[in-house]
Amino acid sequence: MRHTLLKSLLVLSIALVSCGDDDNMAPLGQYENGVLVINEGNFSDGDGSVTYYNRTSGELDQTIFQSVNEAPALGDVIQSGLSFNGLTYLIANNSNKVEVVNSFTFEGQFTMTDVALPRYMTVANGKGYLTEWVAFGAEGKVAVFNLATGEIEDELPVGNLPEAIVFANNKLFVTEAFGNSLYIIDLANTSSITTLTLGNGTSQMVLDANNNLWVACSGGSDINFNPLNDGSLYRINTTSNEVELAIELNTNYGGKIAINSSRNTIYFYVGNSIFEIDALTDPNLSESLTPLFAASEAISLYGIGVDPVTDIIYVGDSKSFLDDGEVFRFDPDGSFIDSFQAGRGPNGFLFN
Amino acid sequence: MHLSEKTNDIVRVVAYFLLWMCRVMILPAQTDSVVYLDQVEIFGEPVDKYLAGTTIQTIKPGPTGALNQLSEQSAIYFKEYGNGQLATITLRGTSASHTNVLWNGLPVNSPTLGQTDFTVWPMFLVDQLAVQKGSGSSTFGSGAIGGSIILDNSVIQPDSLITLYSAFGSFGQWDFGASTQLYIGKLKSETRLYKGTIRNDFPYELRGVKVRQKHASVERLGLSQRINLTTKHHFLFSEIAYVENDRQIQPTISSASRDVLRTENLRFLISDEVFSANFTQFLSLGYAWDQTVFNETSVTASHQLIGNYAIETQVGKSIIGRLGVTAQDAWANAENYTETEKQKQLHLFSSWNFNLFSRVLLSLNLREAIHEDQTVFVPSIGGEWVPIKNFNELKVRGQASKGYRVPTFNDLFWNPGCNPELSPELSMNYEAGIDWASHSFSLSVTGFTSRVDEWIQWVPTEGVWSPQNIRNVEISGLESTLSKSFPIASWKVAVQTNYEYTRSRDLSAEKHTQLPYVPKHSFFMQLGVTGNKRTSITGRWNYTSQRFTTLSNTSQGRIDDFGLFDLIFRKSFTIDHISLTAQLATHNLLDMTYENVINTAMPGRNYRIELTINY
Repeated sequence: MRHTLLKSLLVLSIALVSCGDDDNMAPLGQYENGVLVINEGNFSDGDGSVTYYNRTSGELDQTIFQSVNEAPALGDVIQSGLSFNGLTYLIANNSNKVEVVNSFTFEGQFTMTDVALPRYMTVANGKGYLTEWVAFGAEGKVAVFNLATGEIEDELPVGNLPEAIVFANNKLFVTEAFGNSLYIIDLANTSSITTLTLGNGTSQMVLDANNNLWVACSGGSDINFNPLNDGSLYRINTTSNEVELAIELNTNYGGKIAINSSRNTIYFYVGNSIFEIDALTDPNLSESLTPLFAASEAISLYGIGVDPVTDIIYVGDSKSFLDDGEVFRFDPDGSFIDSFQAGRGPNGFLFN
Repeated sequence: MHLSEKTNDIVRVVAYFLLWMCRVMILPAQTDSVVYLDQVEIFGEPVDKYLAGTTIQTIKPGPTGALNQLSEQSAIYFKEYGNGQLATITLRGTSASHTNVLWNGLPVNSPTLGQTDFTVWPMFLVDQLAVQKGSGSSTFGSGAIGGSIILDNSVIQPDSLITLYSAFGSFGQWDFGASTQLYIGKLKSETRLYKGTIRNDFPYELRGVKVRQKHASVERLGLSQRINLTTKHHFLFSEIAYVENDRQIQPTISSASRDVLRTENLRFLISDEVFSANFTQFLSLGYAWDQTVFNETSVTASHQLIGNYAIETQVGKSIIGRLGVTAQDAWANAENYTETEKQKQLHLFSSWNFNLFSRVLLSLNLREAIHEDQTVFVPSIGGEWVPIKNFNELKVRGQASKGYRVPTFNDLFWNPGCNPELSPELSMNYEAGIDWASHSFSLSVTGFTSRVDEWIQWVPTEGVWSPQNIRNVEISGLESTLSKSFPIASWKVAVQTNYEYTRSRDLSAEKHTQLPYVPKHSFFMQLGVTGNKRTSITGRWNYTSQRFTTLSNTSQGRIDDFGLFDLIFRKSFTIDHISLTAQLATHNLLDMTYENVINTAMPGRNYRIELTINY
């Protein structure tokens, strides 16, 4: 009898576990199947928000953090967000905090407040790594924190204005905002930092299928702050830390970059034009790039993302922050699908 | 006034001036409270002398608070980034940089930002304040598109030899002011000192819980020294004023930022009016210094040196005219400027008044403004006709004017993003109105429309914010004031209402929606009851309709309307030659939770006790 009971419990638990991997399970939350648009908000207005877009029904829900949590505001300048293990971390740069919510219900879990000008984060070996500018003119840092509680366990020194952060080969790769440096922190020995000098305006990064790192460099400006039109893309070998490829774009651009689900195609935009690059074959550098498509109705593009489920390309239009933002959707071949309204300054996307 | 006594015009000026002097001397002790609001046409050297067809509201400020508190006493909307924090003005549907601010005739908007933070100027340092709505560029120069705020201290009033003022209020409000007057022969001197603090840890409701505002304290200091010297041929005036404001910048409700700002402003002016048989000459030299220090390290400093000369003469019986020149040199330093940036201006102007049949007054103003290599010509023509002029008066008026605003130093020099190719903003403005006044009743209605082109807006281009001449804005609206006074038994009751309707649409936007932070409706009502000239109770209600933070005008960026009710009780005593006035004010009596600027908490019901001693 007892044996049978144990057996049935075992069967039941297996069934439950397999149920967890099953698509037909009970919904995890009303925002489970959809796209989350990070709307940065206008600097000092504290009007950052998240828009939910249901990728099958097209249903839209604005300011979901505020409505779910009955909060008047989410934060000031939502610089970026990251979803991991059922939690979404929303990094509010000018609020000096990270709001952590359940990814599917958007119910607030906890708030990290002991951070100074936080920017981006990544997950490595079960811990969160968060870049913080700390202050202009001061050394930045990478905070190491417990993903479940937000408790900061350690701080890694890094150079000025640490921006985007990517984990690969047990190393952290961190770009320098308004600079040209890529800081490489080996997690086996965090005290020594390797610094690579890349193009001006080191910004966002993606990792391709070969585990190579692509760094978008938005371009620099001269002493009179006129653009140098030297934007570029760098490919770094994450094992050897060597620059494998540098693509000169001969223009300044936003430095925002995205990669598709197979991690073989990179997307970025210059003005209203969206470009693609095959990440796995070396491009012919003598040929100038031609845009894949143009978001012709957009006023001022501000963010780009690729849905890993559908490979649909999402671009956010900030409309110069004078209006609510708008999101345009395009097929991987560049044909326009549709657009929807977002919040102020849509700068990035999370895909549930 | 010291002008020759040739014409009716001048007689009228003198009469008004004397009348106004009487009012100023008699009324402060018995009017409601903080300000004395009235439609007075002229003071000192009349600011509206060549502005026939427009309305000017003059205000005698009380000692309380800072200039932005005008919002509590009129329908004027100030955008306030918290309590005691940055406060900018919106006149006639424009933005903060479209109101020119004149201090004793000097244009003193910050050259770096092109606007004024009204919270840094204590009321205690201001004698006379006038609000001229509508474009006044032909008279006042760049920036006067929505209107002008005219601060005038040029005539030292024989108020009292010594004035002491002290106030205490909720959440650590404390103010102290002292002023003293000296008379040495024909020389009059007045010295004023002001000190104020607000701890500003007011409670407000957040997610249904009462919390206290953190990091919003403000400290203020103000000093002013004024001198008048009147002789047969001269009216000499000089003032030096200095204000200091140290504040923790109030974070938005979702933030815990710890930014601090320290501002210092210095103003100096010396002016002389020289009277001779056939003409009057005006000479002035002024200097303004503004410095802001953000987070104790980031310093922005600007200097303006302004020289002015004008000559005025009477032509025949009915024409008076003025010709003048203004030269201005401004220079500024900021972390984000490549070097010390400089801008020069030269203005040539001419103003004329034509008085026809003593019932019609026409004003013509012409101004040629040269800002570095850009030249703008701005004329205005206005007129008023008084068809009824006996015990009651009816006036019909109208004005057409051109306005302009040159780019600010930040627009031109801020790195990254600056745009040296910017053109000046240009506007065309029309207004018309009627005024009716009788012994105890007055009504004034004005309709206006204006169009502003080349409106400068900072927009992000390739990741860098940069100013562009992209907006075309069409503004139309209606303003009305109504006041009535009547006795009830031995009490005098005075009612004043002020309503403004403003439609300010961006024609370059998709849907021609209302500009951000321009309320469509603004309403002010005040009811004052005065008994035996010693006691008064004033209730006032100030309503501001919803505003939007973006041109989308959707619920996401909507800030709800608010109406604030204040109640003020005031009592005066005289003991020997010392007069004492005590005042108890309750602000936001209904304890309304509201926001002026998005996500910025404002105080609920709060109290303030003030005591003024005059000797």
